[in-house]
Amino acid sequence: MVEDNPQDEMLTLRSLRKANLGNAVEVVRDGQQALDYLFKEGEVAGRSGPDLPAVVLLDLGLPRIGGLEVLRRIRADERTRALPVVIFTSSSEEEDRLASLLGGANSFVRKPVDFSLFAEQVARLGIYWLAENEAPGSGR
Amino acid sequence: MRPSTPNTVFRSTLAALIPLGAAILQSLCWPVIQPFVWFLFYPAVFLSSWVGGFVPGLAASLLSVGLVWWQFMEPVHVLLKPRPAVYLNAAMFLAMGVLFAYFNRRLREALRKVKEAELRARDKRMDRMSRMAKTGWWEFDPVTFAGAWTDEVALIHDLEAGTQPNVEMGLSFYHERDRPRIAEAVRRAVVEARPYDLELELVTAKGASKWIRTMGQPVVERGRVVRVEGALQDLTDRRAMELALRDSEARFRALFEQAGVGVVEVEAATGRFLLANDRFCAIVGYTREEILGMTFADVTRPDERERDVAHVRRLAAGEIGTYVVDKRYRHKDGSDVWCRLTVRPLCIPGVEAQRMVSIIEDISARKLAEEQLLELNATLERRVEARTVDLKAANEEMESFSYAISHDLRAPLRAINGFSQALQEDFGQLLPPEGREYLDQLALGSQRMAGLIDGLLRLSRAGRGDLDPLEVDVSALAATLLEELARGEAGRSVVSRIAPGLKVNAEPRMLAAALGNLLGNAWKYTARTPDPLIEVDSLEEDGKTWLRVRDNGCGFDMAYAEKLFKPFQRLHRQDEFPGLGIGLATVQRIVHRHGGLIRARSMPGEGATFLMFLPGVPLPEHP
Repeated sequence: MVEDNPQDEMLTLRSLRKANLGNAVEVVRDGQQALDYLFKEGEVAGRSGPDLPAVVLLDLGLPRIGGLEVLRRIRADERTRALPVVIFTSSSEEEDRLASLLGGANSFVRKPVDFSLFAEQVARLGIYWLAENEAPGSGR
Repeated sequence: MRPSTPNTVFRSTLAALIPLGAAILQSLCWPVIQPFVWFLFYPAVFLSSWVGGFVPGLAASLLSVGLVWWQFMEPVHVLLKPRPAVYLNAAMFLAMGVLFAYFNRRLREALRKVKEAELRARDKRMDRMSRMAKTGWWEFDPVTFAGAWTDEVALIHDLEAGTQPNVEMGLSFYHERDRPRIAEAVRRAVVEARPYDLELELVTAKGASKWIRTMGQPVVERGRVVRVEGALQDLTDRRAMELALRDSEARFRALFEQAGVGVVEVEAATGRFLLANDRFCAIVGYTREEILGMTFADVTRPDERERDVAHVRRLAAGEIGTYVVDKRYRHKDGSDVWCRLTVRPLCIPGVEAQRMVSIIEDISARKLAEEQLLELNATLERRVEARTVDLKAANEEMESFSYAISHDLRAPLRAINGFSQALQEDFGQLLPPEGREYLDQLALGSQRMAGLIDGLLRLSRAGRGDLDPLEVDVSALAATLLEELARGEAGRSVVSRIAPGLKVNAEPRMLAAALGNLLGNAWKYTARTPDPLIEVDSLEEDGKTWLRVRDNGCGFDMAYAEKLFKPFQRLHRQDEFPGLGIGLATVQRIVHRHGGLIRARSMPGEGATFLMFLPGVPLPEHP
């Protein structure tokens, strides 16, 4: 999960937990960290754990490197070209939606203000991408 | 018979003398001639009647018979001759003499008639010529002042043909002021034998005014002027032509000299100025004397000379007729003068060399104004550009502001809403019911705030974007929108009537938003009506075709109508009909963006009617 807002992070993690999904969730807080994590560069060059996550939840409005740029780099690299990326954002701009999907995002989901809807959405996302979807290199 | 004149007497005497001469000559030559007694008398009698005419011829015949009878017939000097044949001989001669006289007279008469006919023909020719030339002949005697003139002169005076004048009468036709001049000319003709030639005004017998030319020629005999003759010509027509010409000349002069524009005449081959008016001299700063020694190239800016010369050459070659050109003259002081030149070839009868006339208008002021205007326009354009840049910046700022609202204001709201609900779910049982209620209100407040933010975004977006109007099928669009509304609230049944074939020219996305708001309102405000009805059709009003959306819902009080289209202004309480107060503001914005109009009509409890006019393709006729 790439999320710079700690409250959204807490709410998302809570919703995932409530949905009884046991998967490990790694949280990075800006675009640069996200790329470092995925490509094992910079501070996290020698990190442990799997090479790639099952899915990336990517916010658009991020410090340092924006969400759309992160998406572009993910899609430009051999290793991450097929990585599932879900854009999870507050924006409802048509432009953002279009840019995300054309940039190769697998989904575009808007965060609702109403928390019950929010929780429901996060749960559905988690179930779909973590349990139902067969990601490349997941070994199943 | 004509009366005897000295000539007749002379001829009669001559006629009588011829037989006498013949008798003398025959007497002298008698020995040679005898016995032919009549030998010389035949020619003598013939000659006499030729010279003297009928009577002298007869007399000469009688005389001849007498002379021959007495002098030559045998026996001579005897009155009564013995042989009767002699008598017969004499009678025969006499008869012959009579015949000579008679035929001579006839011959003379015939000759005279031929001569007279010739004279008459000549007179007639003279008369016709005179008529055509409007010129007649006259004469007067300087002693008696008696005069004569031809018919043409009489006719010029409007007198009957054949009226004969005298000097006094002739003079009476002339204007008082001219008489001394005439008297002086006549005096000099008579006294000094000088011819004269005058042009005078004549008032005819009928009172018409004529211009005549009279030419007098003294006839001198033995060093004395015996008469003065001359010709008189009617110049009235030519005089009128001359006057017209003079009039035209004067008018041309006035135009030429007083014109507010320069006028010059130029010889095409050399470019020399042949004429130039004062205005042109003022434009180029030279005196007229200076100008007339110069060519047009001398007063043209050097870099424009070649072009001008080329124009003139083409004009001279007949390739172009009149032409107009803006050029710069070089003033005497070295400055340039912008002028508009209109040039046309000038054809003067009898003048071979080609000329042209140019009208020169000083357009410096106009040129200056044009330049200023261009500069002003450029400044204006730069300003518009600057403003456009400002406007673009402001728009971009607005965009990023909207984006910030949409993105950044929602996150804290989500936190408020999310944590209040998480609190409720995780620790709700620790709170008393009142505390749980507060948490609910917290969630509701944040939701309403999220709605307001979305509405605000929609409003700011409503008029944004490119306006690319297409023909939109309003009937189909309305049906779709109403279906969506019905799907969203399955429990309600609303009757809708949509007129078929409604079309307008509009940006489709914006029109859908506007119509969606109007129908959404109609839907919402008919919620408490027993038999809800929504109608969409068109209407003619104020010469425009309007799209009409009408419902039979709760309506509103027209007193508050002006609040209707303002953002966040509502005419109903939240507990009556919930809402944000953004919808109609959005509709109005979209309509204004299309250059259209919107009107609302209602009464409380009577339903509401909204009229929307969008210029472009008109709506079809009201069905």
